[in-house]
Amino acid sequence: MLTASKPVIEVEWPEEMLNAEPIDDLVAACCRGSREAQQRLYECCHQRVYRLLVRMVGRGDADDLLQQVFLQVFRSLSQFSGQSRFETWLYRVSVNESLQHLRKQRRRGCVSLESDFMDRQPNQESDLDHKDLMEHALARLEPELRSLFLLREMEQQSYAQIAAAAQIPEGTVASRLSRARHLLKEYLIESGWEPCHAVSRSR
Amino acid sequence: MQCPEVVELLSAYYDGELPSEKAAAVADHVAVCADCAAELETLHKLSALTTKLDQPSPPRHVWPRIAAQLNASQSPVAPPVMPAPRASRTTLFAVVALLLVGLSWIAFTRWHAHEHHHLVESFGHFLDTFEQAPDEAQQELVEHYSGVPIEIPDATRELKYRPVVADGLPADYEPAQAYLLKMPCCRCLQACYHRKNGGMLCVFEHDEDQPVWFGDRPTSSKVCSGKPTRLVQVDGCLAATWQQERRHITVIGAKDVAEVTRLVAHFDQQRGL
Repeated sequence: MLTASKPVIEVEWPEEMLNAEPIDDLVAACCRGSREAQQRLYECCHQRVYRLLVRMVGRGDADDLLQQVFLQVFRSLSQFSGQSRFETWLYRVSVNESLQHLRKQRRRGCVSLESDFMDRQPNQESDLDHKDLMEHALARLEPELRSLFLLREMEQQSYAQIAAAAQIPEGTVASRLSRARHLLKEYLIESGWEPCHAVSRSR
Repeated sequence: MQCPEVVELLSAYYDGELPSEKAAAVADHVAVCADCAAELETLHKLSALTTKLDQPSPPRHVWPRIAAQLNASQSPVAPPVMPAPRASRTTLFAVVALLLVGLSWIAFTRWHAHEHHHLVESFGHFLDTFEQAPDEAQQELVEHYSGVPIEIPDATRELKYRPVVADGLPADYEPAQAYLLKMPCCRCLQACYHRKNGGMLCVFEHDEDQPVWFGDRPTSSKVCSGKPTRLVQVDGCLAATWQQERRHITVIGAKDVAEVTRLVAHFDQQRGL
């Protein structure tokens, strides 16, 4: 019978987002060139990659970059050593592609992600709800710091996993995350957020 | 430990990434220092703000584009081309590549259509029979998706997250049985309830939005308790899907929009949102 009891242990989400064995099997099948396995792998992972890309490059470019990331994944899957988790490797490819895309944009003199959110900013800051303030503050954060913050806060990755995805030492992850949070707080306060007040409820 | 040192460590402390001795020293300091305690509280609030961000669903057209590109750029399972003089080898390669692209595209589109059709059909059958013969519908669903009965605490351990139903539904729903299903999208928890005034309700928790489950049934969108919710007419009852934090909730068997709204609000309340 189904019971409505509290769980015996409080599990942090997600310790393992992907069930290791099926993903390993899928990856192996993808390496053998199975298009079916590639589609299943895509279906398993594309949503979390997409939400990371949207925050990294904005909605306008996220579709194309999602395609780019998975093409890159399938074409270089043989280089995935299996020493790290597939998920970590996938985040590495996603972050690298995002940063490369942003660098190219910067070189071309294209508008930054911030403009995505600046466009949506009403005239009066008081009209912004806290969600918009956070979108805006995240967009102001420099991309490398933003990627670390997102991997931690949105994707719930440990420092070791973030270090593997970003290819930096764990100590650097800690100091950069601390800096990212400090800057986010500053940006939010500049936009009128008051950290001493409770977070507004969406309802 | 003094404030400047603690402030440096707070972020890692908040993430549970400090060694135990340092973590204990930070905890001792925070317990007696209002400024550092407020800083720590700010980190909690940043996390809360992050969870409130919209999580847009990826567009459906991306996979077909990826598949087309993979096909066009030569299948990785292409058989090796026999050595041949340069000119004829190039010609042969081009012919084989064209054939492979053509054949694999046909195979892919047929397979994709088949898989899509299969899911629409199997879940559609569940929806069709759910109201009239819930036990039969459930049995077929479980068989189709290798479902196993599971207790919620076990599901929490298996899924590595705490399902929304872990704290129960409102008092007028009586828990019946929960199943762990291997759906194409993910491992999905399905919890079934008897309504005390009659009828059944199922709650699915899944990683990704699954509009494919409902095929071409009449659908509408509505904001229920502050959340964009997709409503689908399933015979005499409603199915509803909305995003709950990082996952998606689908309920099947709601009597009306008011019931859906009440459930959305209930899960939000349980999660302290």
